[in-house]
Amino acid sequence: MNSYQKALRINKRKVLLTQIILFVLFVLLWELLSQIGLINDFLFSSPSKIIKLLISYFKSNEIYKHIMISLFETIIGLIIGTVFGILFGIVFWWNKFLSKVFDPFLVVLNALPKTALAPILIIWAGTGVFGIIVVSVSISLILTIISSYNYFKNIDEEKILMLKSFGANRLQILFKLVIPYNIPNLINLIKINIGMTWVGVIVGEFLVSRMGIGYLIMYGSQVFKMDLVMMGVIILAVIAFIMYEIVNIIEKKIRKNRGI
Amino acid sequence: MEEVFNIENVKKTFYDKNSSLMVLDNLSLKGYKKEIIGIIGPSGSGKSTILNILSNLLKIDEGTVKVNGKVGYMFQRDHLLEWRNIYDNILFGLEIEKNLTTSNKSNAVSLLEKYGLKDFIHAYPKQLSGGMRQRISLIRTLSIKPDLLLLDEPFSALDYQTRINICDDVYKMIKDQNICSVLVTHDIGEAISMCDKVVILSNRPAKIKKIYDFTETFDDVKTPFERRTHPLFNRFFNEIWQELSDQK
Repeated sequence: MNSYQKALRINKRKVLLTQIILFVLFVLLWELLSQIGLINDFLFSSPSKIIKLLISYFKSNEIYKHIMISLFETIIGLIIGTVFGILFGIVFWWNKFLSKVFDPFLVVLNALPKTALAPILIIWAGTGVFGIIVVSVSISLILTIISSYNYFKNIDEEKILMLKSFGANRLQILFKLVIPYNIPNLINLIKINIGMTWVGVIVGEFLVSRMGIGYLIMYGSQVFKMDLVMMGVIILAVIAFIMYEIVNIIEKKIRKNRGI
Repeated sequence: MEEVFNIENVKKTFYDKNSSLMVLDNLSLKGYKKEIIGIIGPSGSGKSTILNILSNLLKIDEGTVKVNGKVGYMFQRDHLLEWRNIYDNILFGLEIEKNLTTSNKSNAVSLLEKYGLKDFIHAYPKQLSGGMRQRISLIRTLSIKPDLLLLDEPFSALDYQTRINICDDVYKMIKDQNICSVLVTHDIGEAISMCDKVVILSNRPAKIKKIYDFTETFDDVKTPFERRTHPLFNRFFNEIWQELSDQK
């Protein structure tokens, strides 16, 4: 390892260490302030109370069903939103006429606050798991279509010409240039969609469910148990972080395979 | 000599929403095997249009275009695909043609070997210098065994020194093949040093103003670099310079 690499590594560790210190300080301060009564732990809860509650939820095995159902809804919503979004992106790339026709509709749908439509969607799609998935897809789908279409159409014209000079047809241009070229962009899209799908799932669970992390948070706020609300938020943060990291690992593998 | 392409009385007009632009007006040109033809002219004179017509990427309005055999096209930028290693890049043309036979593959690899790039077969494009990338790009085009090679300002994205060097390399690579090449450029020195014939185009719509034939002049000169030091080089350079300046 040369001195530059060493410096890089030390710098990376410094960042991580500072992050950990900041986090620990924040938790300690929160705990301390609630212990001495400077903040009201009935309103703001406290780390120790949250951990106690978390342990009891894990002991009674009750937490698992909440995590599982939310996770299930999110993963299905993420897959549907991303896959169909990209498929529509491909269709619009393939057919200029369709992309022109649908452009204003997509712009309006994108500008609309989708969470405002959630109550209607739930009524249409049913109040079960399916309805919640529909809400989560509605949030990620439109932006995925617009973004992926923009990625696809912004490919260098001369690169396409290069393929055509070898006699490539449109299908070859799609699969040998447009999609592989945009793999890093599509992975980024998945990362963005993880967050958006979670928003959809939580909103959906706020509205109708009797289970899930969104339900826990909603229930906690209704009975004024802030420990429960905070616990829900923390579980949510941890799971979202893990999902994000999984995509990161996949991305690194792909990058390595492509020598980038 | 064997004729490779022949375009006769070709007309081409581009249409815009509210204007039209005549680019080629009754242009005729022939190319033979083993010949390197340079096309030089003011910007926007339709040099690239001629290549796009020869490669059938563009349809003509009037006239005839005959090409005997396969066309290979090399662009200004190398357009190597960053996610493929060099091996997969040089086979890309064959892959598109669904022509990945064992003999075609080994032919492509032997081209790498011949031009000193074999060591980079597993490397990725971004690890290579601009001059190397451009040579890889040429090998990708030569792998499909074209009869007519089109080069659209292939060196203009490179720095001056690399350019002079790569001229020699590419000249050798082309001359090794039994093909006809058309080189579009706006670099007068490049045209004189590499080409057997140099076609001077007029302003738009393009007509052939003059054709210089260097086959006999530089008969005993082996490389483009040597041509640049030939006593007649400067004379031709000034003549063509004058020719191009006159039309402005």
